[in-house]
Amino acid sequence: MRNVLTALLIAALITGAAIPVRVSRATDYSSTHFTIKDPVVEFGSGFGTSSGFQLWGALGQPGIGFTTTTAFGLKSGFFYFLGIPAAPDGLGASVISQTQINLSWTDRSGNEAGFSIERKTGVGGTYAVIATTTANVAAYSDSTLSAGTAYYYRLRSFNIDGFSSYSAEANATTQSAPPPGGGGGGGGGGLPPPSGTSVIFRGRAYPASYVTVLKDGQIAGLTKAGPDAMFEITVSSISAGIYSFGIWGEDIKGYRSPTQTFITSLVSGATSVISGIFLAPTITTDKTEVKRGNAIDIFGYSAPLANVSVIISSEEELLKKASADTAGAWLYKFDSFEVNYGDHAARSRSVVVNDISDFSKTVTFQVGTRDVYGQPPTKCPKRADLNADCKVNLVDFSIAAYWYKRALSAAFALIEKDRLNGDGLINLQDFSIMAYYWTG
Amino acid sequence: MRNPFIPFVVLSIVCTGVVLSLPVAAQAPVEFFFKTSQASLGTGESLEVEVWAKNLRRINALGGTMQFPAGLAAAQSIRTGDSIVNFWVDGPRLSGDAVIFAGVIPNGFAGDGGRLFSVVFEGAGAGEAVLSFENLEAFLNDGQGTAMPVSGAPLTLAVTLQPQGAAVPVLADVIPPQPFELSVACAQEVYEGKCFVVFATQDKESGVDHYEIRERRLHGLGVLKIGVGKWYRAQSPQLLRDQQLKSRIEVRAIDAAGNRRVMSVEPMRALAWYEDIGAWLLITLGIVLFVVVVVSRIKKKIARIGTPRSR
Repeated sequence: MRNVLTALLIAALITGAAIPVRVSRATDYSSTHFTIKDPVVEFGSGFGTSSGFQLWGALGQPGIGFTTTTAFGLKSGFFYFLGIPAAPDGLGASVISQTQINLSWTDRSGNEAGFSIERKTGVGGTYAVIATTTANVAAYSDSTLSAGTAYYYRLRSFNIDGFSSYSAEANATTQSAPPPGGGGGGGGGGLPPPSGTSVIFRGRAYPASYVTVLKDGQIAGLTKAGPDAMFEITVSSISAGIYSFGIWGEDIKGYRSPTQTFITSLVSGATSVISGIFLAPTITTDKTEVKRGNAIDIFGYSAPLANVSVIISSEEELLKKASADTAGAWLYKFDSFEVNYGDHAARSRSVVVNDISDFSKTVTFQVGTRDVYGQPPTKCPKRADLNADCKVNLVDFSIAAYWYKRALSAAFALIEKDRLNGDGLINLQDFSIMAYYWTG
Repeated sequence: MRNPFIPFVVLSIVCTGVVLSLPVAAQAPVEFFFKTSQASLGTGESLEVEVWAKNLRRINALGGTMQFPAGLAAAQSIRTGDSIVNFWVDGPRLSGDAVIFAGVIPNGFAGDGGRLFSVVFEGAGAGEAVLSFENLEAFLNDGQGTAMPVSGAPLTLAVTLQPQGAAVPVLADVIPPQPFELSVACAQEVYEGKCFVVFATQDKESGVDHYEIRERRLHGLGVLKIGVGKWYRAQSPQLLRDQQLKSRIEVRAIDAAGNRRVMSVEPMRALAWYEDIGAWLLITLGIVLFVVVVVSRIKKKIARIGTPRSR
């Protein structure tokens, strides 16, 4: 009997030693503030939310703001600090009317809870918070302003860990109220444009997306689509004539649609309505390279419940179908076995009832021997952004115009090579590339 | 139930795909041509000749040179009002016996064709004046700047010694150029990192003729701020004279009919108190008041002291 027990004990020890123990790596749970090292591995307890580990103890406050001197809270599972979010940059202010200025900026962080926007009047004013946005928002419309007044803006991102540093300041002066009897533009010699000349844009974008209107290449309006993806923007106080309007949308993940353009002749004193606009779906992939045989996710946003056609450009074009959910999100899992090794492209378009959108942007991916996951959206144009402010607008145009048909400096030659056609010159072809990536 | 629109959608996708996959050369070339109300003019008479382009769908940049025999037809002025070009990279401008032009349409043109600009010619000598194009370019809105095939149709104007009744319509333009935005930037990419201002606008009637800029440091308090500065011709990107950015920057766009639109941007940085003439005036005023008060008190004291003596 004693021998049997000894044998059982030895067998149990050998079996126990043979069980592979996979320790979760501490770096999986690190943040800028702390690192949890050597978490205890426990089998089958079901205590931790993650499989295969349990936190037995920790030193320090589990989360800023969660526990205070007057209130104490305890939650199970791991806490980790998010870290202070990166500061937004590229803050721009566009005058829309006598009472409205639109702001746009670049979201540089991936862990913000929102943005705090501050405003002051004139150089000597004092900043005060005027609005707080949710996360992943990069635009704001300030529409309760006075005519002919200079406003200054700054903003910062925040989360539970605190605030980022401030963005650079931006300022704009609202349009002056027209003086009685005319006198144009503050300089005299002309009349203001006839009142009442305006154009209204209506259509579908993506739920809760931001829609921007460009008038002759410059931002003229910004709005947020409703949960049903419908939007309406009015551009007013303009003179009669032929205009080139462009409309693009940005979904809640930060992916942008291609710009849909319209040539419109506006009649003095009349309101034109352009309806039935249906912005092309946004599109991206989860991988830039997919191991042949694995699936690659092609996804984006469109109108709720839209039927999305996905076209894979390969040796032959493949047409696939996906459906957007009620939030407008759509996903198609493409089996890479359907195409050969090499480079491929995908684009999409949507249908809702009788409306058909334009084609989306084209995304490219490679079918190869490994999976390479893509980067999150940067919101920055891939090319033509010469001053790296995540916009392609008049500033970039002016920079390029400065170098037009001139010998480039060594520093600018590198930029030209990286962001334009790379021929060592600034010519009309470079401006064509810029016009394609134009954001206003 | 089968969606009745699916065949249409599939067909439209296929058709669009076919169109988009057509080789560039298979698309119709971009055609540049002239439009005019009449093909003849007398010496001393003026005639407006418009420059148009068609087959512009998905074109976002175009340019070239228009040639003319100045001895027969002399260019007087250029009008850019109601152009489909949103931003001019170069010109349109006179250069000898030619008009050079290059411009862009952000995100591509959505129509088939339109007016680029016009030139007002005056009959200078009898003969056949042939207007023609050279160095034409047009690029596709595809992100690569794909060059498109182009063609240019010449125009022959008969210039005679006898009047032909040619006349240029008077521009009844009383509307200033469109409001526009001034953006101040300091970038290493241009002017060696110095600060500059960028601007552009349009005038739908007669076209923007030129821009002028004025930088003024404003002195004083509140609404009583004043400053002086001279207007001078400017071109975006315009290097700023006040690199400390303590001046109000004003830019005015002036159209071909002389209407003006002025836009301004407030100083990026405030003046230090010792740079503000208003502060010095206040200090001077304070000193003067102080001296006046002190002197008056001294005078009173002297008067008080002097009074008993007089008794």
